[in-house]
Amino acid sequence: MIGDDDLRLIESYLDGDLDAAGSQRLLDLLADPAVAGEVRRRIAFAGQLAAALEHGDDPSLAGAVLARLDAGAAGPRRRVGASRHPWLWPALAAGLLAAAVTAWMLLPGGGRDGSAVLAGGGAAGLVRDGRRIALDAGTGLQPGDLLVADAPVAMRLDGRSRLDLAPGTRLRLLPADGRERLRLEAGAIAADIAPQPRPLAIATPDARAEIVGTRFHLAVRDGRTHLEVYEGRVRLSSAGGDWVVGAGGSAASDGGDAGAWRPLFPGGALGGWQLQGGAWSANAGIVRGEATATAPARIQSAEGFGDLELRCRLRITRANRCEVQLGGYNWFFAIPAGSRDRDGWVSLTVTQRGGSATCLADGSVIPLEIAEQPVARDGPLAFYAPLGAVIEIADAEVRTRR
Amino acid sequence: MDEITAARAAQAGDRDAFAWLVARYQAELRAIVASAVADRDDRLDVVQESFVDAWRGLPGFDPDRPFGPWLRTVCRNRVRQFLRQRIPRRRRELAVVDAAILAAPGPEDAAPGERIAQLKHCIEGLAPEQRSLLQRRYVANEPVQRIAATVSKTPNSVSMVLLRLKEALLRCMERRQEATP
Repeated sequence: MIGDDDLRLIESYLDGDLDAAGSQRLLDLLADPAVAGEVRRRIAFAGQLAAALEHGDDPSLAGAVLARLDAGAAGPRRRVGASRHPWLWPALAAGLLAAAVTAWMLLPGGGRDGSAVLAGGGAAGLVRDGRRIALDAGTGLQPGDLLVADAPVAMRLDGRSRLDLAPGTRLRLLPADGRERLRLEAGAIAADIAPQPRPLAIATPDARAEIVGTRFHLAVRDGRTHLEVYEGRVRLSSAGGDWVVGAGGSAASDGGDAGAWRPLFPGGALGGWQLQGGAWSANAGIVRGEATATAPARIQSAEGFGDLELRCRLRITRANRCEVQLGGYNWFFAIPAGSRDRDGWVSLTVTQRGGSATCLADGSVIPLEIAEQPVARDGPLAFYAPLGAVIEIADAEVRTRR
Repeated sequence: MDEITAARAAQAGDRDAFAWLVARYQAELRAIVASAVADRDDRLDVVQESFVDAWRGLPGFDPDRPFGPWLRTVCRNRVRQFLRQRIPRRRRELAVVDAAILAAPGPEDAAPGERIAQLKHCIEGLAPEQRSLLQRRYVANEPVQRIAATVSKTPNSVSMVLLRLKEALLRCMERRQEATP
């Protein structure tokens, strides 16, 4: 079994920045028949992944080959115009553009705190001190203003962040020194928030989103708050609890109908659970499953779950990861083994809500793994330990929608 | 045009027929090369050189045998040659690992194109932002430090996300292979 440290070594080798100690460790792994194949497989996977990410066939390849034949194929030849660092020019262009936009944003015309309308008009308006004001590009914004976007509106906030308001959105600016900076009363916003010295909070009727610097989409719909995060991380809090959504994740508030926390293993026993491999026991509040050399350990709830929140502590030994599986194994999270300074225990929070699921392990976002088939997400909850591993589950609690 | 006709015509010097074979087999050769060569530019070079080798080797090709296995062998030989020639240009720490891999090659992948196709399917199951992250890192060769700066994360955090995404894709491929009869 190769662990995360060894996986990082393989990455270093692929990146060409392996040091002497790392080089020796890789040589040791390649000389070990138990893991050499795995190391080779992961090295091979890097190129396969890049090839799979590239778009289709290269229609110019045959021409390039024939041209090399004509030229006598003297030696390796890069494609004309190809760069070792194709990101460099776009990055420079993006930098120049960002500089230009920043300079433009610093020009006079914004509100006192640099908040202003970038584009808008038509049916969009602003309510200030009880009076409705027409919106134009450059209109300065100030705390207390209520933007009524009956048409799309783009605005900048504090001179550095950008918000795009969908038609039908009502967004109020709040004092900069308050607990929240904005209140989304209705509709939806897409936001590109510059890094903040302290979290920027946006209130909705039933929840609160806290942002440090990120891109996301936040909407109030059907009495619930819906959040999608594209970059960075956003904490969404509502009466039902808090959850942190990382890049690529989404979440929806519970609309105030979350149930109470209850033990996942009532009485610390295994009643109501199906033992599907390995040896399982429950003792002193800890559920323990031991996989054998030929059968993984899996325990699955008899109860089916829809939207849920799960919190527990997990410890995996003799392996570098275990899995928490949702919806009858349609979705799962691979939980890495905990660090030794915490005795191997990992604090876990899993939230399945609104067609998505998120997981935090010791505060780190764990990516949702891929289901083979897109199927109904409701189903049993399961814990899984791979061959030869031991999994321990403690303090497991769950709550579902009332 | 069919493969046998194209191979015979190419053997007789028909460049259009050879171009047809290049188009027909490029995905498979790219998959073979990709398993050994991670750098995108190097991969392109090795694929091109493999086809050049094939053109030059056509007089020795037995047209009564299938063209595909012969071409795959030509390509694997070119990959090994590339890896051997690369060793002197590499830092010692990397070169010794290169040499160890070359000295004891693993089993040949019988269906490299299929693996890439499976991987593409698994990638489609990722969130758009996850795909974008992989594209930036492994296709655009964007350094982790730069990606981290644009997504307000630490380089370590981005590296860990990439590592986990790759692990997820590997497991997805394993499951697809297990499900394949």
